[in-house]
Amino acid sequence: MLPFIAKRGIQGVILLIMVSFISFAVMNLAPGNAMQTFINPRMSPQEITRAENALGINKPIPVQYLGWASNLLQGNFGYSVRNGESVTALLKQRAGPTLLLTATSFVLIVFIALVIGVYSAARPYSLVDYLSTTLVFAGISIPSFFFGLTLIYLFSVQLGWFPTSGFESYSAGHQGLALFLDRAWHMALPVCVLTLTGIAGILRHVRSSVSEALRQDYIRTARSKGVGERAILVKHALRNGLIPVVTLLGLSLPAFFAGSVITETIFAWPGMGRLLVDSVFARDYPVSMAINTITAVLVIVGSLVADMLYGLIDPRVRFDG
Amino acid sequence: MRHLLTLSAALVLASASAQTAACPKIGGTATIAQNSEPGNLNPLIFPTTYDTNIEELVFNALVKPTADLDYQADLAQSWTFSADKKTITFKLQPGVKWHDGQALTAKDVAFTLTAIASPKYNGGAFSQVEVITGANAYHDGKAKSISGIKVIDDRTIAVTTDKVYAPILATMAGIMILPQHIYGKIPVENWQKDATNRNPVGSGPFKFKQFRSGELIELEANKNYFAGRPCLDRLIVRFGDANTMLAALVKGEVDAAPVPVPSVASVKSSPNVKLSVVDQLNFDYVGTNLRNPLLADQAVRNAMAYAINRKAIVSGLMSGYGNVVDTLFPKSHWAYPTNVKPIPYDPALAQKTLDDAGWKMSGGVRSKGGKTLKFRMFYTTGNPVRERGAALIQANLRQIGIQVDLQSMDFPTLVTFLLPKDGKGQPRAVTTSDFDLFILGFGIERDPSEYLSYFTADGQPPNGYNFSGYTNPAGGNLLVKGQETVNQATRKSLYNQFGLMMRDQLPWIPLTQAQALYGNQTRLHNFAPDIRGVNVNVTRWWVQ
Repeated sequence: MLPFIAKRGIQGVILLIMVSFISFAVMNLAPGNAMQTFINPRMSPQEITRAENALGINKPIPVQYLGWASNLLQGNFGYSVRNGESVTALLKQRAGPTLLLTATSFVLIVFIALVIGVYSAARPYSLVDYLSTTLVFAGISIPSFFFGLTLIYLFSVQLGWFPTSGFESYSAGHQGLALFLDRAWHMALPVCVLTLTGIAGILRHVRSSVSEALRQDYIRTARSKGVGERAILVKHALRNGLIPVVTLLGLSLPAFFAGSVITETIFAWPGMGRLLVDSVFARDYPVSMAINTITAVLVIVGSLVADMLYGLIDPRVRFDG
Repeated sequence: MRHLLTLSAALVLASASAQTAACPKIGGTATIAQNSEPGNLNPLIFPTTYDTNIEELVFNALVKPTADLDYQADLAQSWTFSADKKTITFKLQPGVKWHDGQALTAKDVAFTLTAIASPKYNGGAFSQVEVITGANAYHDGKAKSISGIKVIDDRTIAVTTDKVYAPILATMAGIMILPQHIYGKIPVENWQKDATNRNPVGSGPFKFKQFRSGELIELEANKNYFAGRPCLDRLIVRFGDANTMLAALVKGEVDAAPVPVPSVASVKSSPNVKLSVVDQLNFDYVGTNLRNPLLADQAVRNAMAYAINRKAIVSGLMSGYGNVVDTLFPKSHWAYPTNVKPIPYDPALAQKTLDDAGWKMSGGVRSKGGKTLKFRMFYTTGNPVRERGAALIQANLRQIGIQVDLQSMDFPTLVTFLLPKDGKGQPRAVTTSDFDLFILGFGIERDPSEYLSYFTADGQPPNGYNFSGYTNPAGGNLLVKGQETVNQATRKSLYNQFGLMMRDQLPWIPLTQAQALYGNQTRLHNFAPDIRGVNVNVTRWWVQ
């Protein structure tokens, strides 16, 4: 196991250098830069050039990259050009709300997918199976911006059950338990969008891996030994059903951090996804690069974790260094 | 002395009662929305519109504009010009305090103006104070201070310019004054990254309370505001997508928000939401590259102007919330020449104009002497009216035999064509091949002297914003005179003449001016945005 981790770790570092350099180069090669978003008639073009030179925007890309990377190695992501705030401070403010949203919907997705997936596998072509399949395809087909706006229109504007957007009822100034409940109330619609649009893949995977397991010889053996149907499902089939969940957990790790651009935008959620969009439009490269890099690290770590967890769940998987 | 005391006591009483009259109710919280998050809240570091909307709640300039775009007292109670018109002396309001309780004095004003001229300052406002005597010497490190700025006493400051500079009040209205006791401790080269960018201390009607990234800015009333406390206790400014904020407005989660034109119906059908329609100072235009001999042909520019159906853009794409613009000043600007001849929508006249100039139609495109009327037209993404208007303009021009290839891009990308750079990343002059036509918006300021940078030969990139390459001295001279003329009537006539000339010469083909739409919940009273912006009378807003 240890040589396996070491090898993957070295691969990961090389990969990370490549990913960060390529994304740095691509961003900076795109025409235009942050200063140009500030142009207004009252400032002369010379002042923009001065500011560009002060930021080092006109230096060759490898030189800029080395500067960025050496700052990063000292734990410094730099300053946002647009906000004049340290990137680390910005990320700290945005990571929490995103994690809250993504983790909640992930737990819901896993729970619903396991329950419905195992049930559909045990009773294929039943009403529940058909219904869930339909729902899942609806969820994967519907664009999340449209779904989100529909929910806002129906449940906020028309019925008034949920708030339209935001992280809490700002003017109310809730504290303690009231604040907790208020935030949960604000989370309801965005979590609903993330869950319904995200459940499709995992539910189908759970269903197919459980139904495949149910056809295996050891299940027939268990049945012939008189093990109850419920025990077979929970003890044996579910274990197989967990494999796609583990993969998903590993691959979702970056999304826990980076969040969902569209859902956060529609619900004015103060998360990382919106920060990324805003920084891209403003050509605020220090912020976009920081989010990119952390996401890349999490992709690498996430797939490593997923591979290691496989070994714990499925004894057939071996780590051969 | 006694009389004076009685008089001032009476004044205090009068202003106190005026305050109660203005505020039927004091207290409460209002929440307003804007569609983009402000960035840096130092008003002297590259302010954007979204930054300024917040900054003008927290800070003050010496003067501020009136609704008809003249100037009125802000931090300065009054001002006088010297006989030679080169020195302006400002008398500050008495007893003004910063939000932290320190006194605001003329030294703060001098500090702010000097900091902008510092050799180490990098925030984009130096060109505004460049006209002050000695500012360039200080900027180049040749002087220890700016000789044209004199603090006379705590409440009096004089500013002298080398030449008579008519827009001096406009300049001062654009510079918000910073507290020396805070910003003086931060090296000017670090202003761009300082913590004060997210926690400003000013002198304005509202005190900054907190900035929650991605969510809101919270402000609380400055109860000691020199112009009278705001009626509200608290003001929350939320940021979010236009459609989301509109839903929040209709539902009453926010009290005021911008209304996107396609959503007007939903506001009109909500009984609790009032719609305000406000003229703006910005307008869209088709810019030309006059270095291109085909576009230098006046007949071609005239024909393009006659062929574009601008009324269709207003009625079709803006649902009527806009106006056709006939010159470089929208109707709402004081410099607009009322006798300007409207640009007709007349495709037949456009055809005739090109025929007369010898441009022969063949295969749907006109040509002359082996040159074909084919142009690239760049336009920016993000504004649906402009995006769809570009396609309409393309179709209009095709009808008269001008072929246009549309290319959309974001604003920073368009800038790389208009203000090109050489291989080393340094700015260079524009050439014929950099671009042909572009559609862009222009936010004309209250003072039109900024056109100097756009329509004089000296203003061509890299020195200014004369992308089009308009070098006719007739237009440029009017602008130079306009900047040196203090008498408002004479100035107005100079800019009127400039407006008429631009209508005839059409270096830019003016298109349309969009109106801004805002909705407010009826519980928020006195919400009255105007041409100056959304927050102009914020101190008088009150909630039920």
